[in-house]
Amino acid sequence: MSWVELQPVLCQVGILAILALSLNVLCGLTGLLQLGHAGFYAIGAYTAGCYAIYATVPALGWCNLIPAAAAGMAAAALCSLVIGLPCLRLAGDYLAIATLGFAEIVRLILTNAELPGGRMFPGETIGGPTGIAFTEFPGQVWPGQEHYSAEYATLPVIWLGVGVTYLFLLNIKRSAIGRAFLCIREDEIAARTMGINVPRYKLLAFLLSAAFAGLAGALFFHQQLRINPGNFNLLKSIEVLLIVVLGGMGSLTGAICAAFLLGLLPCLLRHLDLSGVAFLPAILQKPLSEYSMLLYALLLILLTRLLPNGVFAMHELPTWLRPRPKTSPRRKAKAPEGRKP
Amino acid sequence: MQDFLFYLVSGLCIGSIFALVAVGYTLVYGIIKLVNFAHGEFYMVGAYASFGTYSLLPSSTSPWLAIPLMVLAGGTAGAAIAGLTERVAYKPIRRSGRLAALLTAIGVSFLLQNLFAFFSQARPLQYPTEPHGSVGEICQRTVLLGTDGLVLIRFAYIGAAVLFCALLWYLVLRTRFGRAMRAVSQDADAATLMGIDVDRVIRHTFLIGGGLAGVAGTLIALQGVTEPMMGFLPGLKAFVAAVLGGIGNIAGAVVGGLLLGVIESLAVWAGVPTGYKDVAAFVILILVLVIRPQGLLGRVTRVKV
Repeated sequence: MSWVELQPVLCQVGILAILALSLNVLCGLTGLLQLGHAGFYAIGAYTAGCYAIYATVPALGWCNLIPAAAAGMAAAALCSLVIGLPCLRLAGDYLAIATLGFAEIVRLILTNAELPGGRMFPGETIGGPTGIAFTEFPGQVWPGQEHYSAEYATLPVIWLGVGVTYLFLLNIKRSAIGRAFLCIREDEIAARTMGINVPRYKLLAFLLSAAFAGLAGALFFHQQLRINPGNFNLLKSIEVLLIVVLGGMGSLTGAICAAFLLGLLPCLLRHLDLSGVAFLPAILQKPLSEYSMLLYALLLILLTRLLPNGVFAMHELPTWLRPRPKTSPRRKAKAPEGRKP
Repeated sequence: MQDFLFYLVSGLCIGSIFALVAVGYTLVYGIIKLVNFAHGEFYMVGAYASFGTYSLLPSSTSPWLAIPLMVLAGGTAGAAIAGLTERVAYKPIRRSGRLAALLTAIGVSFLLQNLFAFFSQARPLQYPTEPHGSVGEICQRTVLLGTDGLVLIRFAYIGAAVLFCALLWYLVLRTRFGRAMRAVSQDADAATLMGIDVDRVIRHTFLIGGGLAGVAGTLIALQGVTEPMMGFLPGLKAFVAAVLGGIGNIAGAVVGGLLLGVIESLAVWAGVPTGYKDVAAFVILILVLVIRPQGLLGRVTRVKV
């Protein structure tokens, strides 16, 4: 596999990792099941797309990515308030379904709504089933910038985004906020008794999660330069959820590792082929990549049964890699006192 | 005004289908508190089974014999796949929490969709309408209602919903098994102590729910297409219907299903663009969850320590 072939795959892995990290705040740390993550991802991507169409300043070059990403994050966070506030009273399955409904609403609106093309595509519309493409400009927009390309989200930029997200969320996890999240996950009533403002923290978790999903969306737009509502269907939400479950609910490192695993899986499968295997019936003789959806589904079922805590459980390192404390407090207590070594 | 009548009747027809599927949702939820995401897939399997039956029958079979046979096959297949799913996927994780159950249900739903997509090459199937008097042609016949033609077979949806809901009402409220079902839904542990075989009740509940979904899928596919993803949206909408009526409540599911069908249809009549028709269901879902989470006919339950 060559580097040219691997590079876009690694970009995808990075975006998946940001998505999984952000979902992990909500699902893993706070224990709120969310099936509509693709909705926030879509909002981020479309906001960045609209920024690119309406407000790009070509002279700024890659600096355009900053307002685009900020706008994407802000829009996603705002929408998370719209869905988060009414859903605060819901728990468990109901919340999952409500967020799923929200993501479907977003997708259906994006499929049906069309915006004017602005000065970039005068007389045309953007959006709708074909989405936004920022690759060919029919009108002469900027003199001297005919070959302008907004492909700013290169591999290092995306992985920089992963690093920032990881460190930010790791600090959240290790702060009082993170402990409050975990407490809500373990027992909401107990958390309330301990004086934790449950609705406020739930809303905060929603906000954080949506904002970083928006970042992932903005990066996705600037990597692909063409997006359509099909990129943000339920399958995407499920894929991200699967990554979180595989990595371990609440483990940020686990989420990145699992994103690698699942992101590279289709790429590896493409190189395996069952079409020459003689003993298989004709209908099964297909390239393995066609099996990947089946594999995802099976993986989800088997994982919840065999590995309910994921690979990393909720820790940042798996048990066998964690440094052992020199002396456990229990042994210390048992040691006879007053004896010299 | 005649337009209104057309949309109302057509909403009631599609609402009957939602009701049939929603009843299965609500039965399963009432008994094991599981949102069975795979329920829409039972509907899809039913449609495929009836198509299979259709292609096995000799072409000289009278459609008036073929259609009931196909509905029967669809129902049986829906029940069979529901029973199998319960045995293989849900039973082993029944004690391991709701998150695991929900994730498994999503996994099963995706597995079934993709299995059918894999083996059917994702080609939508449709009943041929060619020779006059064949199954496909009969199911496309329309009746003029106002100015629009309503497909005649849609009235069978209402008929099926009435028939099966009456049977279910009898089963749940008038038989020994129904009493066991109600007992398990109130308190499974106490029901075990009373000598009720809870496993058997759960199994049979899945069979009933899957059978109803299979019948609904068959009926829809008679005048539409049969494809692997066909169960996804109706499944979600049926869930909305079940929540709307109060999940766990059978009468609520029927009322919710009919209401949802009518609302969707009247939204189109009132000028909502058809592309946004599906948005209506989800907006209703979120509104219901916010304003009255227990649903129209549900009762409030309080979480206690």
